[in-house]
This record gives sequence, structure tokens and C-alpha cells, in this order.
Amino acid sequence: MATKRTSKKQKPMLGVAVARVGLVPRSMRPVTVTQDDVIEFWRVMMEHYGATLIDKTSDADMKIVADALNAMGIMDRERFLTGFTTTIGTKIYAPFTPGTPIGGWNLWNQITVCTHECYHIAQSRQFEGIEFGWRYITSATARAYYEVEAYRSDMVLNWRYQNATLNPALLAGVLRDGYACPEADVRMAEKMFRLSLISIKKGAIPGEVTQFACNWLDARWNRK
Amino acid sequence: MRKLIFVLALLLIAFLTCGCPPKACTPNETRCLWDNKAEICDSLGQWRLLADCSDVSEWYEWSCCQVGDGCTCVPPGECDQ
Repeated sequence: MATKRTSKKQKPMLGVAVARVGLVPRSMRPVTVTQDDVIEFWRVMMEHYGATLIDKTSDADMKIVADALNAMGIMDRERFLTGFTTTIGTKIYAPFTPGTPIGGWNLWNQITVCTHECYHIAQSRQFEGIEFGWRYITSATARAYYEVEAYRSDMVLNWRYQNATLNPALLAGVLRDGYACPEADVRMAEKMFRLSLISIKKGAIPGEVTQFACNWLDARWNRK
Repeated sequence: MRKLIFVLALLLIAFLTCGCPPKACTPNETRCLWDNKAEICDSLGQWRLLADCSDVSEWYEWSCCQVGDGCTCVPPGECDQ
């Protein structure tokens, strides 16, 4: 399953976030992510979720997938290899080395995509064998739902640590353009994002993976 | 006759196992359940979990509540606002 980095800059929004331990200041500065933050975050998340990191751009299997997607007219080969991080099972195929910015993969995006991909690992563990992958590939509705759950972690992290709101309509559009989801599923996704954002802006952290990530990041950036 | 029954049996099995359950809800409809979970109806007319409002905060018991055109989780005391 692939995730697309959010390339558009979101207008920062200020608001009160009710943290787990009480009220936090109305205006919180966005965190400045360091190389060491990213390296350590990836190490912790991969260890916790049993993930393996693989260089996507040099992996033979990913090149075959890229060629197939290109041949079918679904996605440009280079775009798939460099613009997306893909997770299959517990293997995360990333077009970057954690801690080293490249292209659109800045340090912050490397934090959010790590959480996103670990979310997919957790989702796959709810099923036996290849059932998750089968559902993901054969059902656009299932694929949209799984991506909404994972992209919701992006929404939480951006709100909590960057004071930024990811636009629900734009996020839903990513499912249309990057995941071949039909309009009916895109509408479901947009509504899920929109309703989730209401809670997120009040301080909710839905999902165990996001909660684990935020616990670690809160401690790292002294947000507790 | 046996062939006809066999073919009909196959069709029946295919129908029952096609993964095409009847629609249980209207797409994009939402609801709050008694156990504090919010659900949304997907494009196939099946309910899916939107959020477990008992599990979005480590410290507070949030509530599933109708906000605008859908159900979502809100902090304690905000549901009636």
C-alpha cells in the first residue's frame, strides 16, 4: 500500500488543543524536527511494529511493480518509485534514508510517513495471511477506508506538532488520484476526514499507532 | 435434470459467497452506538467504525455525539453544546 507525501503547504491554524494532561497554550510553536529525531523515531517505530526498512529505488520487486503500473497507465514509473512509500506486510519500501532529506521528503514528512506506514502494518495484523493485501487490492472501498485510517494519523501529527490543518477534501482527493478510488469512496473518505478533524482539533488521538507515536514524540519534544 | 440442479446449486453457492451482503445503511450516514463508538456507512451500504470515542484520549472519557451532519467524538460535557 502506498502513501503520497502531502506536497502542498497547509495554512497553519491556531487553536486550543486539549492535551491528555490538561490545557496547553493557545499558540504552540511548530516543532523543529532534527535529523536525530527522525533517525530515532524510525528506529523506535520499526522495533515496536516489527518493520523492516528497504530502499525502494533500488529494490528489484518495486521496480517490477513500477513497470507494471506504468504499463497499465496507472502511475508513472518514477513517480511511484520516488514519490511514494510502500508497505507490504512488515516491509516498508522508502525512497529515502531516515534523517536525510531528499526531494519532497523533508524531515517532517519522514516522521508522518513512518507513522502512516506502521498504521498499515497494524491493520494487516488484524487479518490472517494475505487477506489484508487481498482486500486492499481488490476492494476500492476497503482500500479507501484503510487509507483514511492511516492518513488520519497524518492529520493528528500535523495538528499536534505543526499547528497545521490538513484539508479533508484535498486528502480525499489523494485517494482518487493516487489510489484509484471511485467518487463514492472518495466522498466517504472526505466525510471521515472532516468528522475526525473536529475531534482532532479538540485533542483526540484516534488509533493505537498514532497514540504510540504521539507518546514518544511528546516525550521527545517535551510536550507532556 | 441432475445437471440443471447441479448448475442451480452452483449458482446459489456463488450468490451466497459472492460477498454481496444486502445494504444495511445509506452511504455516508453516521451513527453513535451504545458503546460510545461512531460508525459511518461506506459506499457498499455497510457500517464501518469511524472512531471509538472511549479510546481517543488517555485521560478523558469522550462521547460520541452528533456534530453538524455527522457523528464524531467530543470531550466530556460538549455533547449538548
